[in-house]
Amino acid sequence: MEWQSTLQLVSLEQLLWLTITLIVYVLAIWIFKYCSYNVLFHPILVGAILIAGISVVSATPLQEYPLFVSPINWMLGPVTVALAIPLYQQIRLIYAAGRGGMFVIILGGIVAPLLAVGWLFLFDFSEPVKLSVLTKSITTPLAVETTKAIGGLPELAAGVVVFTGVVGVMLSQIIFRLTRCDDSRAQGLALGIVSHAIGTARAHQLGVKSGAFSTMALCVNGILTAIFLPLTFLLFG
Amino acid sequence: MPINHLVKSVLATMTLILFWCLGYGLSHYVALPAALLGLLLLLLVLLFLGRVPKSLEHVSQFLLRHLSFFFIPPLVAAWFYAEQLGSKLGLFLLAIMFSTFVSLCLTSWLAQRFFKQKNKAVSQDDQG
Repeated sequence: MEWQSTLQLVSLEQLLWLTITLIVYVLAIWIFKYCSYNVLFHPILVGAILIAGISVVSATPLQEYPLFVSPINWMLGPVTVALAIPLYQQIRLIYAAGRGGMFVIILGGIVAPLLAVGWLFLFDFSEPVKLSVLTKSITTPLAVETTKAIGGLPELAAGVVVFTGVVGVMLSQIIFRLTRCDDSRAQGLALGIVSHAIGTARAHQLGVKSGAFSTMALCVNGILTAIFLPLTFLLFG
Repeated sequence: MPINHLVKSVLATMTLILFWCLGYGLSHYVALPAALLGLLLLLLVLLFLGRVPKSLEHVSQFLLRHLSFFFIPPLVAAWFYAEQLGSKLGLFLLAIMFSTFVSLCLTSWLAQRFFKQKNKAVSQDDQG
């Protein structure tokens, strides 16, 4: 069944929406640049809003849009694999960060999702919704697959991840002042742990060193979470 | 030589797809996401090689720089789930904001203390 739908020929509508998405993305990057990389104008946000706008104008139900552009999802796996290259290039930073750095990454990787899920437990949220925030701090390709593995809603998880990234970057300036964090390595590490790829893009703006540490933290936290979260569910779920 | 460059880029892309396929095959035996297994396999090969082939580096840099593109569709889809939460959407978003705030405070504070200590230790080593 699944194979049949995969093998189906790409329809004209699909081709049209793929092209629209590509154009919208190029436009979104341009807007992001024009707004001097303000995180509120992140290409993901602007892109999604533009797509929503186009679907309203063209009277296409927005529900059908993800089906039209499903070929984009096929590329997500290989793109995730590409994370091996930055991880390999920054792997010496794992030694440079040492045991203390790893401790911060692991602690941050555990505390962030637990706090979110704890909050949701206080209120009456359904089980799949609760499970969808557990991957909030890891990069989207890993988050989507991991959420699938533990029985959450992958689409909601993707939204949660993007929102976490944007909020983290917006708050980071105030927080770094609050915690008197001025070491570029520490700033990069924190941004990478909490705000994954969106935080890493911000860390690259802060400097080469913080960007490298952020990349390392993003990869390590993402991989550890993607390994241990499904394992935890396998053992205790 | 642009043709040569193109061929190499295609080969590098196929390498990524190949490793994803290997990860997919392995995921039948190991209970982990296919993409993660592919990533770890490629990392092992790179560690074994001791370097990153230039074309693979360029292709992956390009793909990761444009990671945002792949997440426009999921974010559009997320909107429907957000709508289903209805009146609880505010509480849901607050949960994410709260946990992000606390964990960012915690990690930046700890990392700052840790690197400062490390600097001190290094300079003491220099003196001794």
